[in-house]
Amino acid sequence: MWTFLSINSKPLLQITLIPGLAFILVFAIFAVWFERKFLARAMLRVGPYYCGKRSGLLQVFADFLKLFLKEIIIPDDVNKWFFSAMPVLASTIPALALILIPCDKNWVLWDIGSLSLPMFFAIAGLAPLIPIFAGWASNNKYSFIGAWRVAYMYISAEIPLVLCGAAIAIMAGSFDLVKIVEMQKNMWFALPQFIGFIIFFIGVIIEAERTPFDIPVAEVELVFGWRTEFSGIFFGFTMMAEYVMFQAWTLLFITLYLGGYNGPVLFGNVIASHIFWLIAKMLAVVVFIILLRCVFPRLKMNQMLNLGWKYLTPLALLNLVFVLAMKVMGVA
Amino acid sequence: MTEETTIKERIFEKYHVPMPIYNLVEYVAGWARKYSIWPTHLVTGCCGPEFMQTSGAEYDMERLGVLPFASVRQCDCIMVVGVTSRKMALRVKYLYEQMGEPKYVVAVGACPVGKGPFYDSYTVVPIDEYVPVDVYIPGCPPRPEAIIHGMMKLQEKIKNEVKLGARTA
Repeated sequence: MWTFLSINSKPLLQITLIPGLAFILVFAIFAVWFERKFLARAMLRVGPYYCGKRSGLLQVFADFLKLFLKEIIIPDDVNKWFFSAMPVLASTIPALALILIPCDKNWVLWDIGSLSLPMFFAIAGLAPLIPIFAGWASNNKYSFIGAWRVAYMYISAEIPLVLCGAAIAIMAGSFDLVKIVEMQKNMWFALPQFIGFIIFFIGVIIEAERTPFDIPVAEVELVFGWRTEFSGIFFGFTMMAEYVMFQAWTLLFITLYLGGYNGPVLFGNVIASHIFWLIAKMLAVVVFIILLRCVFPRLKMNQMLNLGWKYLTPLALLNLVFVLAMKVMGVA
Repeated sequence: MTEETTIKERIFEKYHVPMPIYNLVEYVAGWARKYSIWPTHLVTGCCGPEFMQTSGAEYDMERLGVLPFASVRQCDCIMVVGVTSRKMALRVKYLYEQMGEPKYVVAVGACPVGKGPFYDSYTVVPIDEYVPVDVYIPGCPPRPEAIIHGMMKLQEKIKNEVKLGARTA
């Protein structure tokens, strides 16, 4: 039973390195640093500079340590159990979804075959409950408004996402993420399902609460959305949660549309080159999504709901019908 | 200075933390707090445009790790920028009490430092009558360079405070 704890066992490597702890932490550190530095360059500024030998690389560590050593305030009127449990759950539940992502045919942490795509949507569907509970437990009007914005946003984004996932499953003939990736050896699903590709990309930005859709934490309207009452390391965990969510959805996007781990084999090592291609594709998509932050202003709530219900959902249905027609005619 | 040394000694006597470990934690805490000041700003007057420019191009306070933030719960520092009337000063105090320790206050401009051009007004008050101010930045209005210099002074102060083990107002 405890064989997975031996030092050379594959599950231990998977839990600690990829797609486990180290992957998540290094990604969060890199993404925060890159975002601050890149946005600063876009505004003709320098960004973090003096902390860490004129590169600003240690800035993230300084922020995290400071938050760790800061006082945690639990106000009198909050629901104490929910208030102190939610920040921790917020970063762990999206991290659970990562264990389903195949890094190679033989490198899947939780290989449950044809249940993996539905299971990803199930786990990721739990994630919006955390902001809602946190906003309710905070007993603060800004937190509460932010929480309900999260609810509105996720419902209008998740239906097109699930429809796109269904189209992928029909084209691949399986719900198994490994089989879906293996089907994309010759052609990525982004080409035959271009509409689905665009919809899923927008959906990923909405789910990750990145800038054109960072409505729940709109700093100008709500003070800090559902995160308003959290201080110290609780706030650090909620920020961490944002990046874990970002990573999980980006990885699913790559797995479904951009060929997953497929790529030319480098240096004769199949597993290492597959992991390399997965990380390279993920970083490319992440950099592109971060770039959007210095281009677009924030949408209003009604514009966002219009986008979700009036455009994304019908287009996703159209995509589904298109794929079904292709499947029936035997093209795909 | 006697009080600060006793705090350190008291921690040593109570928890028996070995001095090298205590010093290491102190050093790391000082370093982290120094490079990660997140200020919230209370802009009430004409120092505002100068203060905005410190986060803009050219001056860029983020080089020092100073990241302006929206919510007081997550912030370390209030920057009181501009005139504070008697009524407004109560709000500053309210803000100050909402923040978590360690917290700092920076008075930017002549009005919160002394009374500035309103020296004979009955309603304008210097802000240090209500909250403990760490750094005073004079000027009417102060240039962005002056504000950044003030933040660097605050960084020095944070580092020294941690070394002494207590706040030295």
